[in-house]
Amino acid sequence: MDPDSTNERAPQTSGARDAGVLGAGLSIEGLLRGDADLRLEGTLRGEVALDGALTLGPDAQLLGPARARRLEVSGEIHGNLRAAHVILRAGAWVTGDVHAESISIDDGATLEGLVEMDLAPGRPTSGGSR
Amino acid sequence: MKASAGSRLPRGAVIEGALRGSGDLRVAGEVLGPIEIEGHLVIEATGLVRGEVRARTITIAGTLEGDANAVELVRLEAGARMTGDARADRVSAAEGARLRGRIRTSQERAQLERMRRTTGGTLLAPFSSSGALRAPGSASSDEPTRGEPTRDEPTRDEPTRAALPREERPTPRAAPRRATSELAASPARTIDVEAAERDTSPMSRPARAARASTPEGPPPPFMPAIGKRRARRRDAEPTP
Repeated sequence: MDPDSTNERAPQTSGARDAGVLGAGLSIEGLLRGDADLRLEGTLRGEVALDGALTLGPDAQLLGPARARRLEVSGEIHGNLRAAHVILRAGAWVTGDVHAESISIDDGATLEGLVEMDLAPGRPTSGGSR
Repeated sequence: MKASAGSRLPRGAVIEGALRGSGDLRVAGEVLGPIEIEGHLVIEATGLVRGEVRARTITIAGTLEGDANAVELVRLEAGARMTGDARADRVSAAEGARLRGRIRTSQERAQLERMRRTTGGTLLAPFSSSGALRAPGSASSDEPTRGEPTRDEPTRDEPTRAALPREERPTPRAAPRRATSELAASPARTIDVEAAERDTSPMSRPARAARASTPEGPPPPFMPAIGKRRARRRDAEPTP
């Protein structure tokens, strides 16, 4: 690991990962993949498969499935989600199934779809029923 | 143009597909597909773009495999690698940049100025009205001349852009053909066609710049391929 406190640039989720943003004016058609943390403010029509964290801003729109390590959604997703952690913020609108190890849905978020959680061995199974 | 937030595709991230929109974009990851944005595009040293890119300015420090079409400027930094054609008003490359492809800057105006200085303006009229500075085969996407009067009296003494009479601007090949019969092609014409092929953009940007800088002039002709772009460019005054 690093010596103390040289990683101010790195986001929490990973050591050397590079952070990025796809701004509000941007519209993407296709596949977004790779190992990075990204914040989406614009529109993506296609698919997301990230090893990092994907954050959807309030005006962001994702039409297609998304897989990431962490998914934080304030915007709109029409597609299935798969992530270790799924966080739906107030104002989020998700239509699609969610597959996650943990999920948090804030008051004001909209989710239409099936939630399926990993009941990992060795973990308390009550977590899945929330 | 509104000041939209810039975007940045980080290293490690890959977009397979098309990317377009407004605002600026920095690519430190990979884009396998075309990019078309209204703002500035920067391909950082770690960035790779495989596809045609269009932007207001394009700065390449990484790798571009595809054509670069900028409204204003294409800049290759040291360490840049580019395979494709670069088209812009201005193209610059730092030492250490590697380029394989054609460079097309819009130097028609500069050539005209040079010509005017060396010939005292005597060659100007047959030159320009015969379309000597057009790149051959470039007329396809160019503006239709809405029956523009090509016989205006040119004021040859004024070197400013705005003062250039319309007939001195490069005109599409369709129009010059008419004029060629009247004004016999000068020997210099063939020489200059070669130069134009090397150096000029088929978009004839100086012509558009000249039109844009004459507010009292006639409305710009409709150019299907690049009309939108030019409209944008006019309200956003280019910065050097």
